[in-house]
Amino acid sequence: MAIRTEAGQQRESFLVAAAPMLRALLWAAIGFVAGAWLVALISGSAFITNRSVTVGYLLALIGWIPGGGAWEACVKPAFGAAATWDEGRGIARYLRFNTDHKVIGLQYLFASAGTFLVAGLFAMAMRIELLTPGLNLFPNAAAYNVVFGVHGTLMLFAVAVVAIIGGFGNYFLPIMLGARDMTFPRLNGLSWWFVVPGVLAVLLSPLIGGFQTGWSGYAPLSATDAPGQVLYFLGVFSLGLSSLLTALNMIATTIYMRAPGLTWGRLPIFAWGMLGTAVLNVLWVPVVGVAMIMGLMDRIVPTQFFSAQGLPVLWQDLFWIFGHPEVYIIMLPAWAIWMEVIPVMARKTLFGYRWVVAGIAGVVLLSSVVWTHHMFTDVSNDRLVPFMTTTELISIPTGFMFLAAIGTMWQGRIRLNTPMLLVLMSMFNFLLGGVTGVFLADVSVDLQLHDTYFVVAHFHYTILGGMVFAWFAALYYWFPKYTGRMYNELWGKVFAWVIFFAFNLTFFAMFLAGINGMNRRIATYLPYLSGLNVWISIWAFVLGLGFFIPLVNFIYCWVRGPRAPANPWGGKTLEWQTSSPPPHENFEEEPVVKSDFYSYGEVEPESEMFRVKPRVGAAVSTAQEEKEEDGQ
Amino acid sequence: MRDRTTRDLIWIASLWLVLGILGEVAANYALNTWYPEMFSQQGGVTAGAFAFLLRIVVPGAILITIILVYSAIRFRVPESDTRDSPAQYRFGRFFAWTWLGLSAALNILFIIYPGATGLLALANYQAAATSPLQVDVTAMQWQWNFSYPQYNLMNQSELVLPVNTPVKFMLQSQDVVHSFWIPAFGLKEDVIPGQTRELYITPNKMISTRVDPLARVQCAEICGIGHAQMRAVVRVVSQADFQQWVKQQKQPPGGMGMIMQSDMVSINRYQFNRTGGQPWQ
Repeated sequence: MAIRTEAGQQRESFLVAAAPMLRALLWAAIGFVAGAWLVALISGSAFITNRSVTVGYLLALIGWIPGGGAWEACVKPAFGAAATWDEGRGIARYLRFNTDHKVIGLQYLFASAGTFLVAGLFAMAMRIELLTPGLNLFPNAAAYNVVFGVHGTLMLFAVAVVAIIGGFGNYFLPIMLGARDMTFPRLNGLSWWFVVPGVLAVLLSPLIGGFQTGWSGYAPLSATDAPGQVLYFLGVFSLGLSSLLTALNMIATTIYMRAPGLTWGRLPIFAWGMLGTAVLNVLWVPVVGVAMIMGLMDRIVPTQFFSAQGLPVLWQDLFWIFGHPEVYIIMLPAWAIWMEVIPVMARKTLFGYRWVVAGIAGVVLLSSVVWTHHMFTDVSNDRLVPFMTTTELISIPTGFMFLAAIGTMWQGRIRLNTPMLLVLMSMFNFLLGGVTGVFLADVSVDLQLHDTYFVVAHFHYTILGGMVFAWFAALYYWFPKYTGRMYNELWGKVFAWVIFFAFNLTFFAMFLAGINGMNRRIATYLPYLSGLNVWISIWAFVLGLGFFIPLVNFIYCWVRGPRAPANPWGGKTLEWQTSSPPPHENFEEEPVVKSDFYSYGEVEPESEMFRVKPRVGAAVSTAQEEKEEDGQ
Repeated sequence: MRDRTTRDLIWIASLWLVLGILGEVAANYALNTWYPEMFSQQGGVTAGAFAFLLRIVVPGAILITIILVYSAIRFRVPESDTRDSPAQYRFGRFFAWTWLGLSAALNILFIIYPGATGLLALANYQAAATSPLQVDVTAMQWQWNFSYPQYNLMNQSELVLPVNTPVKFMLQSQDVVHSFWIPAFGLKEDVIPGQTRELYITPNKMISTRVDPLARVQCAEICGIGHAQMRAVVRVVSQADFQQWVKQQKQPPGGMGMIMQSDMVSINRYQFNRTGGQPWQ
């Protein structure tokens, strides 16, 4: 890479570096135009119709993925040709098909961070619109509907379920397991290439009319909408496919690629979190994928799966039987990050490791049988009590996370740096999201609050307040590891406090709006609600601006920040036992694990009230030391 | 060590006592100020359940917040201090099992009361409604239509109900999924194309949209461009006024009924008393 030469060469070299990405874009564009044109030609209809967009998107996907390098790296070798793909160096690695899990992790991170900013701008547009009871920004309510639909779809399918899992899961799971890479590196490489088309499909859908349904895509409205709805179905399907491929890889990697001595009882909590989400993804992403195909067929065939002649509620069942586990697909990684950061920053042994694992397992089991609480207003009475019960019960394994976090912090030596601060804030926000969930789990209360701003506030408290805060905690916590440099601590803390206050002032007011009869997904509202909405909008703008602080902090420190040592926090998990950033294939020598990762000092099995016998927590050693010890 | 732990626990308990009481006061204030008045028996059930849950979860959330904040301040060390904590243990049976016991007890409580009992109360109101007023509700993009088959009164754009009479709503949709919600009545039911769904409501106080904007029919499920404006005027009136209204509506076109109707064409033309704001759109 000739990045550090004169300006002229720099531009040229960037073009060379980005060549596979540009080729992918070109092939995708050719694919879309060819597909759409072909359908228009055969059917004699307009260039943009439901069917032409569908075929165009599929051909674009077929152009895009090989264009990025999968042609040379996967397709040609499958037919016997020699694999000639060069995975590049420097920045070029991120702009082409790559099989290195650390490169893929950062590809996911960039994709989800970029999507987060864009979808966040959509939220800002919504808040401008809601400054006044009538319309002020959008020409009509349909445009507003499109904007909240794109915001929700991208935030959930391309940020919440992707940022930690695709980003940090890909980057750190193999390292924390002591593995050189994922079990299926090429599958892993492919999975990221489904994210970008999925995001672009949803993002560009407004160009062909967008979709009115919001992210939940309720039928039969979805069948009568503008052609943009087709891109919702196809985009969500692509994003789901990416999650599914990643999940398969994570399960296989966790089972088969663990370092010697890394028994199940020593598995890092982050790995348990990834395993739990992967199991949920493998179980339920296929269901939502099928729902997307059925919804698409209702438009392009057209079938009658979800029409009044079919079963409109079937869509809701298929959507939410994925959609609720999805909430835990979002939260399990966030909890795992709490458990990674807290023992390290409190210099204290993790409290109740087995309870945390049991909590994760309990959530995985229960989360699959709670989905009907999204449909209390749609279903027959016999489904109400069972699903109310399971929904209430899931608070018990969820509570184990708070139990372990409090037990670990108690009597610790807590360093309140940016990652720890963000974890504490994430816990507080998720606590409020959790206790307001108790109201929504109660059927009679839900009959009043369902589809109001109370629900909007509730899930933003869990997803934005819980998961996104934890994601940023992880971005700061692991920043020295994945960049090799240190972020600015002062600006990290400023950011944490700014978004903490702005977030709470924004979303707490939404509970009040919901209680006072403000329903969801409306561009205009009755004037009696305007005071609250002006308040919400102003703090939402502060919150939106707040996210530019880490953007500057990260970009500046990635380039100019001071060099970070291999283990700045004194962490014991394996990613801290290798250099920053880790070398290709992660370790100089294969690590051998001789103890768990969460023991500090002289550990007692029980707190002093139940003293049994002391046990010494040993650290991690390399194979070299293992041999030396064997020789002694 | 044990003395300090005792002191920590006393601090937390005292803080909880003070802040918990303040929290209860704030919760009561919020319930009185922010939770809107309900105008139906069913709304009394949902509002009661909300109030009960709020009074329980507020002190609970305050306790956990106190523990988090107290730990963060009390056990804080400078960021340069990397020494391990002197207290190290993997588990504490007393804490963990107390935690589990309490959360399980709260769950059982919430499932039974107000969960199952709330549903039972709603079901009992329905069972008690032996001869309800039937109102056929037709939802379509983007308006509501009300028919009173017992009075042979069809296609009203305004929902007029007699006070203290159980009403059986028969909900049908002509196109997509809508949701029939009157915030002041405290519950909603989705309207699904291809199905006829029932909802029982007993208005127990007189109210109208003019007085309280929460007394409106509002579509609560996204249904397209006109979703936000898919509203209808609600009036709960005395029995005599209701009979009077029926009579007026049944007069031949050009009569009194017509004038009333055109007066009520759209909720969006109303100036709501709560704000004194301008009519819009």
